[in-house]
Amino acid sequence: MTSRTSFQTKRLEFCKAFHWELKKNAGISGLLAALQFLCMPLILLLEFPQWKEGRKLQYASTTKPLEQYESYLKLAIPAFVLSLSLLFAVIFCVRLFGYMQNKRSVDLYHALPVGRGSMFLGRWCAGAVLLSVPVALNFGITMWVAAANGISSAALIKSTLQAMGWVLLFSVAVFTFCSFFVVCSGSMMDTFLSVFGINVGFPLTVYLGYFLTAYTVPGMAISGGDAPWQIMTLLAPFPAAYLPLSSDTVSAGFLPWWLCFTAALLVGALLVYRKRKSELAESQLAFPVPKIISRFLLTICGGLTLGLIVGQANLPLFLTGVAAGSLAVHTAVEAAYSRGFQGLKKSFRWYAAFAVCFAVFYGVFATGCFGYDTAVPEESQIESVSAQTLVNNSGENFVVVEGKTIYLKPKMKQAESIRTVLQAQRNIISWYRKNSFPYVPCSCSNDLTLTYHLKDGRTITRSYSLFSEFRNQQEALLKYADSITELAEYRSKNDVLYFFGPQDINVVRIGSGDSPSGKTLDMKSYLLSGRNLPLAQELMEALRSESFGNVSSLDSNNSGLASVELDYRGRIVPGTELSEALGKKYPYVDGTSSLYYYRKGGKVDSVLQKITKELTPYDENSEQMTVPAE
Amino acid sequence: MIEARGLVKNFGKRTALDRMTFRIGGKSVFGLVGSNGAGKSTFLRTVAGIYRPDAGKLLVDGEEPFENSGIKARIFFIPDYPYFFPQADLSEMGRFFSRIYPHWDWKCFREMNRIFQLGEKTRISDMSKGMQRQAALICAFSAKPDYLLLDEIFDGLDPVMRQLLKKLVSEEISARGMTAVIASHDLRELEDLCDHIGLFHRGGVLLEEDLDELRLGVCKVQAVFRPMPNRSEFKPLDIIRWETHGSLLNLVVRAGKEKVLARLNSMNPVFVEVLPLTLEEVFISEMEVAGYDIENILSDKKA
Repeated sequence: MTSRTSFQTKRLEFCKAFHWELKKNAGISGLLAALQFLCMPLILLLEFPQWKEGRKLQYASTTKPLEQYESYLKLAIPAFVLSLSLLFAVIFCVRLFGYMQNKRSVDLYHALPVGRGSMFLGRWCAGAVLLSVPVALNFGITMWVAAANGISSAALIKSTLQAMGWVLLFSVAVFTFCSFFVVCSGSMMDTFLSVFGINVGFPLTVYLGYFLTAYTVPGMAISGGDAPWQIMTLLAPFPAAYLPLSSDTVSAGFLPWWLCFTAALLVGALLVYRKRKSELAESQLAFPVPKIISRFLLTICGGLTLGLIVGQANLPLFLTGVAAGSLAVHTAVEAAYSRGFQGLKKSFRWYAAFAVCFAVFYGVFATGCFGYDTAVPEESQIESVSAQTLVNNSGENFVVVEGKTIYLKPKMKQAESIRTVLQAQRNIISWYRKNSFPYVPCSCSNDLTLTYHLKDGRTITRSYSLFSEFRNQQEALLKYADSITELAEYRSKNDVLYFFGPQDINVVRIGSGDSPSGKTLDMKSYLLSGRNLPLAQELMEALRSESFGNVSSLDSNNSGLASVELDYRGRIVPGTELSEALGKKYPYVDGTSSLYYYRKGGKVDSVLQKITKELTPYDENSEQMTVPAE
Repeated sequence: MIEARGLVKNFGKRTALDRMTFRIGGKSVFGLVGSNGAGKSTFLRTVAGIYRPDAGKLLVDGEEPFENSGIKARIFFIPDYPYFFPQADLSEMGRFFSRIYPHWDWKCFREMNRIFQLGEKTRISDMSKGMQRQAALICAFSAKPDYLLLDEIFDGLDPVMRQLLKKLVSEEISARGMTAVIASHDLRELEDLCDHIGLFHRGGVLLEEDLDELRLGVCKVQAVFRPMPNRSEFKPLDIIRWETHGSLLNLVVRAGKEKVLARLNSMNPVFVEVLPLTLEEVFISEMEVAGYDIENILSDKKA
């Protein structure tokens, strides 16, 4: 009886709080609805007639109404609708929960015969409803406008509903997130500092940590450019809100995470509010955890950012930058929270915590991440090895298929090749150990990637930078890479020259400048006429034996060099080495080119001179192949 | 009845209520007086259920008010700076309170509006301090609470409004058995209104007594002695204050009038007279005993 009475009482109190706040803030919700109406349904109402007449939006590449509608939604939803929802989520949070940060309003609300739980939940529900109704209404009107103009594609309706779902979810997520921090903080200033600190500091910390991981330990096979956006926004609802609307796919865990995180924040806020002391209003001594976390994250960001800016590949500068940046940001954040410097001295124990964490984290990577830097598989374990390099290419190791660039994935299986690769890797490791240890971050590209395919099915990948403006003595590194690229097996598997036959050559472009001719010659029609296939074969064999992929290891001012580019186009025969090297079934190679350098006066030069006499120029503006003169 | 048992409330390192124990009976007016920072407002907020005690208990009719909607529905608290919704007028505040307080009386609300003549549609934020307090009182009386807690209510009210407030409080007490607890530095007003007085100092209760008994229990005496006897000769009288100007002696004694006269007359004074003591004089005297007086404050400052 008591528990039922108590539940009924709480339900009644909840309803009182809910209805009152709903009524009091209905006007603001109406404003949100009106603004979102302006951004979406109204614009569509005005634009549809114009689209039907064939006029198009400035940024659209099509005049079709359906595609223009899609384009507009892709712009309007994240830029306007979502942004407005997030802004109003913050506004509602301040209006509904700001009372607990003012001593006078606390005297009123906490003296009322309404339990804290009921008051908080009633207000939260009111806020969620006030945010959701305008969104649902405007999406509903948008879909009605589209349907009235003949757009009723099921896929489009589904995607619009999905977008509405994301906007609703993240409006409520941001609202709940901010509410949690209002409950934890003593003033609105502290709340905004904490919200800002987490939403900026967390993604940046993850990114910088990822960057540090990717660019410190030699061999780390991840690219600093492939930042894990979804992990970066794991605790930051403001940037996370834009992810599902601006990228084609989000991971399967994204939606459950945000549902659970929002629910956890709501429960957390409720529990904290019930324990929160009324006297904390306007106090800086409200629950310190958000401040500690926010300050910690921003300190990391400040330190790593400055360290990476000033100290790439230079340990003393890097550490100095980290120390200076972190100290400056820590001081600034503490001063902002404390409205002065009175709490600064005490806060340095937390700075010490950051210093220890950084020392441990960086120390792990600077010393090779528990042997990651020196790990080399045993020769007996290896079935095959692939090597991809951005320098010292013998030619081109990619083809263009259906407009996409597909890289060859050659696997070297010969024992000598494997041994050579292993030795090259050991040499590179020794070089890094001797010249760069302890390791310092350096945003260098991964110029050489070695992938070992082991007999037990595992794969070990290592990527190394061979070229950097910050590093000296890189000739040794390039020499180690050359030992791999000069392998016969490597050349034969990593250059399209070995996969194509003379019948696949479409066009021959002889380089200008050092070249005698500077012409583009039509090989395809020459071969179609059935003449002199052996000449094309001779060219390919000459290039295989004498050409260089690029001149990085040569004297680039050598006037004895010339270039020739072969343009391939043709069918990919299944079962051939090319189709195996591509790793997937592709029917047709489309416009792939490979560039070769050769020394004048050699075999390549002589074959090209013969070809020049035989072939007519290639008309790139004509789709018709020209037939050479008899 | 409001009962404090070993009540403790801290704000950081500062103790606002230090093991306070006393009772406030029902159907009466209880005046809370005390030095600045004595804990009066803190006590009222604890009774109102705003603050949770850090130790001890605060009971209202046997139940703790913190997070107790049933008890809070019978309490109405007007703080020293009452809060109203921004841009709200009196009718909006009335509508809000009427949803919350189960005994809300619209008839009383309209009657109070007629008496105080504030105007229901006037924005409260545009009103003066005194008018805002009147608005708070209108809401308080309309909520028909059993316990009315007022913090510095007289501040800002003109003398006529003060008289009106006293009359309304008295009427509610006699009509409904309401209990009013009023914290104020305006001892003259409290003297007219209160039945009981509690004197707070530094988180503790110096005295808590019926006002009449307090007046009867403390005497102010003027006497002339030639020669002036020593202070020790006045034992066993409990002398709170001793002042001499030549042969004129001014005493404040904690004892009944008859007892004081009997003792002084036995010492053959030239002249002796017992004078009425105001609450303010009682306050100052008791504070002197507690070491909170001008001389001590100034000597502390010089030190």
